Amino acid sequence: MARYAKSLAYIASILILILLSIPFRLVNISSNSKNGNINNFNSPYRLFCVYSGSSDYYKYLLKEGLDDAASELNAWVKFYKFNSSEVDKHCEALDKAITAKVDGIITNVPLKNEIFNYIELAYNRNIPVITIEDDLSNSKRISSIVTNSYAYGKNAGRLMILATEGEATTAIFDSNSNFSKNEIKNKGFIDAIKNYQGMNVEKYNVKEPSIIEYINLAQSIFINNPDVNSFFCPDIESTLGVVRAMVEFNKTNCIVIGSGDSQEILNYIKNGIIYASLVEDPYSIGYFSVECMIKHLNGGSISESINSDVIIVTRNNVDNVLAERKDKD
Amino acid sequence: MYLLKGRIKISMRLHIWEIVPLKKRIIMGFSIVIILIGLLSGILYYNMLKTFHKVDDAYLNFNILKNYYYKIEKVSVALNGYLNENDRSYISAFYQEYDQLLDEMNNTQLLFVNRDTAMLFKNIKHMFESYGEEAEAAINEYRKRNLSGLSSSFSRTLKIKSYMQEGIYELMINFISQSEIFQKNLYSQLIVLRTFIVLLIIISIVLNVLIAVYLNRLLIQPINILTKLANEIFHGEFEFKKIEFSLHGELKILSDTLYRIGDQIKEYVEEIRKKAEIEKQLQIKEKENYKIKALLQEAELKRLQAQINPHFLFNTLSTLHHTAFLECANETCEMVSAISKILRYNLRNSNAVSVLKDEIENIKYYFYIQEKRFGHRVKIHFEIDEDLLDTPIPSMTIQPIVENSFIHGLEKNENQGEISLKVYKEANTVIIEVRDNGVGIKEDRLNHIKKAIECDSEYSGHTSNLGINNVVKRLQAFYNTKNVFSIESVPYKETIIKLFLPYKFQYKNNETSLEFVL
Repeated sequence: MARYAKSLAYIASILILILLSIPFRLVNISSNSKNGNINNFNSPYRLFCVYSGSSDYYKYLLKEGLDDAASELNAWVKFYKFNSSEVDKHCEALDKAITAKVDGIITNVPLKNEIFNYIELAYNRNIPVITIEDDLSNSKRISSIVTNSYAYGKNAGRLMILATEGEATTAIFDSNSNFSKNEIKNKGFIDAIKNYQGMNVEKYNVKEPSIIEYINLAQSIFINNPDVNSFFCPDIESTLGVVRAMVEFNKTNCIVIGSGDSQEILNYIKNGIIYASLVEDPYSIGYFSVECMIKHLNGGSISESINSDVIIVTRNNVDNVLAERKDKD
Repeated sequence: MYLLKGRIKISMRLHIWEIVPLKKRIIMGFSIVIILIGLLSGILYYNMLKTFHKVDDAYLNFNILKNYYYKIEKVSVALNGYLNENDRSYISAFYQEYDQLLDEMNNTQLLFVNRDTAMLFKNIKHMFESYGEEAEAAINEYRKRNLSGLSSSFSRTLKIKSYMQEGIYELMINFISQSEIFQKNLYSQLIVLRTFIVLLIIISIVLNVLIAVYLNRLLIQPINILTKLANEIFHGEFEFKKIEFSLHGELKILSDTLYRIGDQIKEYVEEIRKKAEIEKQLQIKEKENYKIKALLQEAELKRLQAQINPHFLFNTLSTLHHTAFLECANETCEMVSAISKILRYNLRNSNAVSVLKDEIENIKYYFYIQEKRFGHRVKIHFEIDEDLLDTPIPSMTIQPIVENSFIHGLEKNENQGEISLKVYKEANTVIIEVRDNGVGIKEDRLNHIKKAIECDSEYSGHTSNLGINNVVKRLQAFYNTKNVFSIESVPYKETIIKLFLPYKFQYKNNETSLEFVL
């Protein structure tokens, strides 16, 4: 009888534990909210990040970097993202930030003059601004988190030497003064190959940079200058334009060192049409920008210009990048 | 060692549980289950109530924000009114509304504030402050009549108003999405509740089955066994097997008591049975005594029938004796005297105890008469051991036997009849043997007589048997022994009847003899 009583007690205990676990599971279903005066809420630094760009994945990684840094450093970041063409909305978001008297603004520079003005306005309201991707060194921004364009170009030159074994005629693209970043990249590229006698550079001017413009330009190069057997594309538009033209004119034997990591570019790398692509690290940019802002707000000194990393994607690591992206999607 | 300690602990605990009375155990068990279910239901109810309140409160926040939205609109209308119509009431209304709203915003009590909502609200509040600054600038420009400055500041106020309203929308959406989360929570709680109820039902069924099995083992089975046992006891089956099953508490007391009752009843019944046996034996004895009494009464009746008027008969015989003596008829005189003595002996109480000497003397008188009657046809022999003449014997014992020999043995025999009476001793038995050479008794008749005597049959269909029966029963009662009589006969040759008396029998006036006397 004692044996039965013991077994019964065990079974009953297990069943009661199962039962008990259910309401306690319900207790755990609750939000992290609390009631009361909204102004008494433990207030972190309020930051606005306004970004305009074409790559959604870039924006995603940028936000991830911003959020991670914000949660680590007790900051709250409101992220406004727009397409490259939505400059008005970008400016309006900056205006909102200034009106809302935020603690700091992080922005990229889709249009130099407008952004310059907002930086001035923010400065007058004691709101510090950090620029990302591009620098406005003549503005009153406190710092800029940018990719080292010269190092970027130099890396591209080294990759080209590696791909062509030091024997190539490379087309590079020059543009308006607005795209000084590309000029610096080109400079780095040229410096990297200057010691190789077999390496030549053909410079082409682009008046209004767009994918279509680059397609047209690449077509004319294929027709008019058959010696050109390689391309250095300093931005995503030039990369996609050149590659699409190559595919169209069956010039896939040309070597392309591109920029960006859009899905299309990654597919071209996987298929061997693009030899390598240099990618800025948006996560690091986002993270460093918040980190620098908090450091500044806490009274620390920060550097005027901070360089972020560059990632090189080739056929060897493209699968990893694609897999990582799939996971994040 | 540790395990051993654990086991001891468990067994101790179980032992403690087992010594708790059954009633308390059942009450405790059910109480625990009820309290648990109540507690769980309470927690569930509390959670659901909380979630319902959260959903309600989320809509409450929504109303507060809606109020802000309209108040911002009112502030803007007042500013517009002042700048467009230059009405001083507008400017005071503007400042009043503005200050009131700013004050409200500074003391806003919102529910379910999280980091996002708090920051969004802070944005709105700061925008409202910026709005105030721009409005102040616009009013100043208006007062300075600087139209370009007024236009710029006024358009800024409108821009900021739209920012604030966008912010409020965003906050509203945030709260709505929060309430959606609460609703989802509520829904998931309902799913959990449903699961809980289903599990509760399943677990209740399983627990009930387990409890039923446990109670069956704890109560029903032992009760069934005890019921069966009680039935056996009720039906007088005391040879029950003591079933060994582990019981505790009341059931153990019950089973022990039942077994004890069974054993006691068994002892009582055994005692009663023994008493009944004794009573039965006593009844048999009493019955035998009654039978003897009946025989005696019958013999007495017979004797009384014969003794119609003994005094008259004695007087007559006395007269006859004197007449015969006077007439010198000596033989007649002797015969009358013999008859007179036989008659006198017979008239004695037949229940009286006599001795063998008197009994034989009486027989001698009887033979004398019969000799005179049968003449030379009958020869009588006596072989008497004189030492045995003091042996006590009920009176009128030998005469019926001898009479039988005369009636059945010699009366029908036309040859020379011989009757012998022997009294001798064998071992510790005095034997009285009556032998005749008459017609004898046929085998079936002899068996019948023997059986009648053995089976204690009162009537065997012939009056003579009554005499033998009477004699046998009296002897058995007197000597308190069965073996007192034997009869052997060879048809047309001889019949031997033997009476067996205990040697040196000490007659005591004890209960048996008293009964005999009665």
